[in-house]
Amino acid sequence: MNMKKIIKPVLSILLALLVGAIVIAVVGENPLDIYRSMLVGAFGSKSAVAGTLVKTTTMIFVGLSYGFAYKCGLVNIGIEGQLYMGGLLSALAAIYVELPAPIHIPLCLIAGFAGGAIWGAIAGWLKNRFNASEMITTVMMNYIATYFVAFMVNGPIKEKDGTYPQSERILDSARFPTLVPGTQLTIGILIAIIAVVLYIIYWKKTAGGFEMSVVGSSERVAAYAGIPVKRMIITSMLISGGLGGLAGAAEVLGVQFKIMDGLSSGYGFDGIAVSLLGNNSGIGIMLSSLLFGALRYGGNAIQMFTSLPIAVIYILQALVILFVVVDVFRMERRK
Amino acid sequence: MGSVFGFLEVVINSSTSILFGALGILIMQLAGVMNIGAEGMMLIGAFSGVVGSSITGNVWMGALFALVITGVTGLVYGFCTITMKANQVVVGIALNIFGEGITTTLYRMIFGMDSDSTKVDSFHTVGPFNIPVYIGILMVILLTVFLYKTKCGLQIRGAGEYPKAIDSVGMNVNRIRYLSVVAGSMIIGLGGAYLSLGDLSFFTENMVSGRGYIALAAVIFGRYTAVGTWLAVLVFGAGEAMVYRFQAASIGVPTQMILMIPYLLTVIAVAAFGHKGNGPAALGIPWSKEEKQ
Amino acid sequence: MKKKTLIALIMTLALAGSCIGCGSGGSSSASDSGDSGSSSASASDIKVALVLPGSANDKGWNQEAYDGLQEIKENGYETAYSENVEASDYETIFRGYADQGYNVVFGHGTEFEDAAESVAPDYPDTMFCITSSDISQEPNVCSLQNLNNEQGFIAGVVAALATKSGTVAAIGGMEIPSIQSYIMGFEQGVDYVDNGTTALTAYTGDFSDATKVMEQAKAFIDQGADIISQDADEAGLGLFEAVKDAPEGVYAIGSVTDQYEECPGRVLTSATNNIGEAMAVAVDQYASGDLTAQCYKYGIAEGVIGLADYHDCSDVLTDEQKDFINETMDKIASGEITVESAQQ
Repeated sequence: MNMKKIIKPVLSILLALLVGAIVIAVVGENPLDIYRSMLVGAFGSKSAVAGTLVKTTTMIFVGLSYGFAYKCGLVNIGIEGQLYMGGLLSALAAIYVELPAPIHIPLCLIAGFAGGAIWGAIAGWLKNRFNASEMITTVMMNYIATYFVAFMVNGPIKEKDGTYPQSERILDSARFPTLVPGTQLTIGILIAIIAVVLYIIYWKKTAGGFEMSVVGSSERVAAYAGIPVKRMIITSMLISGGLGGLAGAAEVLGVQFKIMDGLSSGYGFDGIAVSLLGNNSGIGIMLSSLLFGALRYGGNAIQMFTSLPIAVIYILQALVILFVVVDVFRMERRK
Repeated sequence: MGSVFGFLEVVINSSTSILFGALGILIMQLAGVMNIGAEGMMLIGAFSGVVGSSITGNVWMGALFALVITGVTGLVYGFCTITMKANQVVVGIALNIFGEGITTTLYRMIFGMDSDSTKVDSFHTVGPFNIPVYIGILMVILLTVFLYKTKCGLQIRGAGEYPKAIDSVGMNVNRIRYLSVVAGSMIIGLGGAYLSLGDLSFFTENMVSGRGYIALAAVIFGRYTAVGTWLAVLVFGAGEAMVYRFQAASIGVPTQMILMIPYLLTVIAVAAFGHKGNGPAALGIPWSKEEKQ
Repeated sequence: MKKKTLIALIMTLALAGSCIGCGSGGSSSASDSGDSGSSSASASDIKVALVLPGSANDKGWNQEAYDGLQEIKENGYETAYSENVEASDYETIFRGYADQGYNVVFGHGTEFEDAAESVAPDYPDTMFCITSSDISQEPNVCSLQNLNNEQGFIAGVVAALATKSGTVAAIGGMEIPSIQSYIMGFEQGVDYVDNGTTALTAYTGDFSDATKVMEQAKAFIDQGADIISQDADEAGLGLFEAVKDAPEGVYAIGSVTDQYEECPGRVLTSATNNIGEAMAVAVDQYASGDLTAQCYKYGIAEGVIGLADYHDCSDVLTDEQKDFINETMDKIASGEITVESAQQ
């Protein structure tokens, strides 16, 4: 644990901010003002911290989702679609099933997990049965899921008195209870942390986790060792998809309280960067989720209170990812 | 009217930008460098093409400008992934976000926020198609010959399949990869420029709309051959063309179900013809000489 | 693995650290939390925010509101806007602006209804104003209903009168109420002319992919349509690329603003929709204390919906036909013709 290893990532963040500052200056704004707004926006008040944590919740689920498949040697680019299907099923359970809250919330979570899991497992099955690369099928299934949700909210589950294509609001018994009154922070973050703990236990302590990681490093070795590769693949896609589905469920039950066309704006793709940045480890994913949550939420503040267009914030986010990943991975690339 | 030829015309027109994107990805991935960032590269190509065409008033200069800018983008991508050995998927994702940010920002700075028309000189039609369509088809043939019949092509494939062998005969793996990444990026950029300067003659924010991902899927579906990739792209294009026909014919199916067709078709096609993918063995693994593999 | 974890931790700390480092100034510029009494305040005291679902530069729906905000700014009000806002952030952004003492917050589209209704009770000093909607909630939620159905209706009437082939078409972007209303209006307009014209319609599913609109328009032209209209924001510009290469006699009808420049000689006219103007009026009403919790309708009668010039396509329609169009618009304005909408 030498100083170099601490200084390097700090330097890369600073470098990213510096290059970002140049971009901001070129656009004609004062970079210091912008950065201040962003940080105040992300951490400056109780509600800001809550907002950042709400985004972090979603990031954790999508990050775990990518990491779970990745450790089994699979590339799941379909988290966005799994998120939509999870959101859809959890919304159905939350709107049309009447139960007391202590049962209703778990049921909606299970429905959300199932929605994503089915979507992920289809890709796993296609890979096992037809040798269809999950990288292709998951990309395509993103579009199919978003169009399917659009179809559902435009027709079968469209709100009765409303005009906008969205579902009815979910029942109160299905809403995540608020953790800090007056903020958006709900028990969603706790569920996410539980998921992180289970994730760590699974990969570190269980036989299944070990066998799956053998499949991840070499399918051939795994087959020699008598590990059922195909079953591992489908299980991995199932759980990975389920975690993606939970991201959708958390958005529906804890943030949006209904499902609509714009349920997610590319969270599923953020999951890839979150997971890889955190080296696919539970704690790593949690911390990189916090970074991404802060970037997303702080980005809102920038556009609200400065005249910087949102596009500049995208540049900033890309630079942070780039500089961190470039430096970190140079120092230790091996798993 | 709705003849077979008319249908084919739409298929080819709506798939050409993806074809360029896919061919560029193909070269990069054969050399062992994964590219999930084609979306951003195409966007940068689409934008710089319009800027070049706008400044010079000549579409060819626009295309040249797009080639140069995406070539530089490729150089940066290569620096991050080859020299710095950063995770290629993450760099790709960052490039996609960056592409959306930088093109939107510059677009507003250069063309302003008003709703005036920002049309520029665009490619002309020869026979049924734009000129780039023919270039795309020609490129499929040339790439097939280049990759499988020339020494240079063999080296590229070697860099992706078994870099150690390339290294052991005294060649520089990373140099081959750099050249492939830059060349591939330029072709991807051309795909973007075709979007803005081929059928259309203007830029719109985020106009690539997922084509970069489709292109990546086409490469895998096409089993890492130029011809296969072309066929894969055509399958997707056929789906798109069906969307337009079905909607025009007002057959009474919900819009979203029709819009799904291209993606559903691709999944089915992959399942039916996918079989064993023959991706490069060293894909996504940075090369360093000193490291024992 | 541990090292990586540490690094991630440090990154987060670094970010937080630089927060403290430069955060000392505070956000004083935006925090004049003056809850200036809503009635008869001078323009400079009133702060107006606009929340957009899409890109401010989309040359359509969002741009129209953005232009409206620029006009409001020129009128002396303080303004701010957020674009490409995610559905999960609607409430957050509304609260953020209200916390900072913004007096009027526009949510640009039906999708903001729920957020306004749930945020408004906490911020009685802020007026939430939703466009393309008919909601109202005492005392501080109002709506501006720009009548897209009327806009589509005129386009439909023009198309049915101008067609030689007997087939016309309209292309929408995403299938959301404002666009559906336009498409419904278009079909009703064609029916109203009642000359046996067939109206074809389609949605491309998004607002940024111009190529899709172009290919869809070409498919319609193959189907025999000779007058084609669009309501798809920036993606709608693809229509003009399709008519540019189309056979003689095929024309486009623009929408939202006068889109003649997009393809001179082939743009018959445009069905305009000036919601930005309505927003500027609403803010002035607020300044004079007249903006109340109700739905304000803005259609042909109010001059927000209209028809652009025919430019050099003036001879496509006969004078009688143009008179008929003007009469029809008068009838809509007077309420003699009622146009059905997807938003009722």
